[in-house]
Amino acid sequence: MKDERKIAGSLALRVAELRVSAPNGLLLLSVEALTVSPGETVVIKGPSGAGKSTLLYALAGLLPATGDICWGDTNIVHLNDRARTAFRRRHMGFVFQDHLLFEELSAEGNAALAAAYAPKAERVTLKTSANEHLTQLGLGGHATRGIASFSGGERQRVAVARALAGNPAIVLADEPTASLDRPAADRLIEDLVLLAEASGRTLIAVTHDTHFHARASRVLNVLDGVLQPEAPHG
Amino acid sequence: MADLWVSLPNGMQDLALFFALLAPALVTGLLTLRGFAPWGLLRGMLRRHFWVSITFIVLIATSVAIGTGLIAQERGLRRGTAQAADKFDLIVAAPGSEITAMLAAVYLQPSDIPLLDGETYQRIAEQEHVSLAAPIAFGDSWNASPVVGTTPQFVAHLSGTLAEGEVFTTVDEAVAGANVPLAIGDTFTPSHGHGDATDDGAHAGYHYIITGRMEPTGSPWDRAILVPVEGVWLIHGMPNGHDDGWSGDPGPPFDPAYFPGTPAILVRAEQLWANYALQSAFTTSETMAFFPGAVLARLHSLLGDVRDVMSMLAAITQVVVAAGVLTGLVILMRLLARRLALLRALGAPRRFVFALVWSFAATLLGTGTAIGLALGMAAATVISRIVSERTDILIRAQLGWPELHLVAAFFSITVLLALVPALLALRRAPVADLRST
Repeated sequence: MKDERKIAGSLALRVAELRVSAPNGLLLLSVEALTVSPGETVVIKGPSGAGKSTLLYALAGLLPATGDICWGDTNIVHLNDRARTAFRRRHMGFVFQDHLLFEELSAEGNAALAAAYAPKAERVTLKTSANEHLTQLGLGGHATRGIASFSGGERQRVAVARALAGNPAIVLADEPTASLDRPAADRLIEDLVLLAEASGRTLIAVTHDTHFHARASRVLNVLDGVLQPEAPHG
Repeated sequence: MADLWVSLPNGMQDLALFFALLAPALVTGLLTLRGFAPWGLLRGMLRRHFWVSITFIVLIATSVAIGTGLIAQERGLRRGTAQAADKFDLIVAAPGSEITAMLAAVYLQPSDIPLLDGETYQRIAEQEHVSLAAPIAFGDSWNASPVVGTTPQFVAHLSGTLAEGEVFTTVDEAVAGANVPLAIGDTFTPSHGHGDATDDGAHAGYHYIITGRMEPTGSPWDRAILVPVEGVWLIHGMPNGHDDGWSGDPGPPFDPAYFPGTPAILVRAEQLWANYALQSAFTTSETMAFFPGAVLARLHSLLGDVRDVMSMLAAITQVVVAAGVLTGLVILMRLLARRLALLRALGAPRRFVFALVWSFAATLLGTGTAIGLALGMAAATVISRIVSERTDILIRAQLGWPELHLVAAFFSITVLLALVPALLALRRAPVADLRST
């Protein structure tokens, strides 16, 4: 599977002294330092409630945080909500555990969802890209079908197409295989990893799935809200 | 500016007011939706919540229909009754209730009214500037149609040219109103009285033959049969209104000595001012002169007060329904919170989420308002038809500027209120909603 499309730049991630707290002041997440090179596939593991998803949402700029979260030269902690939203739209794609698709839309409508709020000049490109990704994911003949008639695996592939439609440099996935059976999960892992690697995208996935762990270049561990130091290579 | 406004034709003023009332909705829509294309998502939301959307639309449509239908119906009734009285400039009757006399003489409602004598008729007919003084003698009927004794001149005044046939030229001829189920050449025997008090055999042996049919007037006279007043007097065993040398041609001049009496006289003067002089002259202890138009104006004023109260109640209903719908939307938005959070996570601007929620509400409100306007007009048309059939007063409930102004104001106010659920949707935390199931 090759993806020759031009992605929206290569962005290295550098996190330093990241703290995420609940509104009542309770510390939810602490990351002293983390770096991810462009094009890496990184998996975050840890027990339920450890703070894996909190880390993922913080990296997306969806949670108020202190410290530094630098994607390339952009420290998103210092951006206002509007700028963070614009950054997500330009540079990030998301895949969620339970698809989070719009049931009443077609596969194409879901994959090209961003066309509804993207600048007018980008809408055609987005729709074309969404259709190309659907084809790459084996759903080319089903683009106009309603999502309600799709299987769980197909739905998650539509969600991947949606995440990649804007050709983002970063793909964030939150338990993307949790609701799938083994064959569907394996296919999704392959699709996600290959599509990310083929175009130099950074893929960061929160997952318990050991098959996914095996396909990652690095596996990070979060325990009790703290990102654990990585074991030395070799 | 005020001068410019006054100088505009009425139609332009109404159009300008309509757009001014609609402007807040249009401007809000343009500003909110600028740069976005939420139509696919919007259609999806409407499909997903089809029955909820239908329920909201029906509620809004019903409240709008009540308001617009009420206004259109009241205006149609006012115009219809005014048009029916248009030909009746001045009525002279015995002193009593102007409303009773008007209902009897103009709207042909059965009523016992004392008779005016021949000398009174003579004085009226001989007044300078009087162009028409027609006795209107009611009391008989045929098959629920009032049989009214009058003069050929009154028939010409009421109908202009006849739709077919000719005006009566002998005492046993008659002219049918536009809706009377008798053809030219048909004969009939009138009954004494109206409705339940009808005495069918009182005038046995007397026959009228239909010689003409009037043009439609949009009044109860379309249901009436007009006969020579002399004929009415004769079949009641009274003199025919003329002396022994009468040629037999119906109509004035009448001889006061042989004039049995008439409950009402329609008077028409050559000039408008002369009508006022005549009203003054015949407002005495023996006669009552009144303008049906003025009596109607008083009734319409009363009707207008009732309309104001009902319009206010309709407006309150609309506000309550709109508030209920918007509250329902707030609840519905909680159900949609996860999807809206997803959009935020994917990078949709807050303004897009705001626009999506607002356009969902505005679509329901706009559709409900448009359907309500159509429903209101349909209901008013049906009710007008029923009232017209029962009263023979032609009532046309048509879409008018007041209804359009009402719906424009309603739509603008409610779509502005719809900003509230849209704003509330933005106050939610996306991550918390994304994690909810």
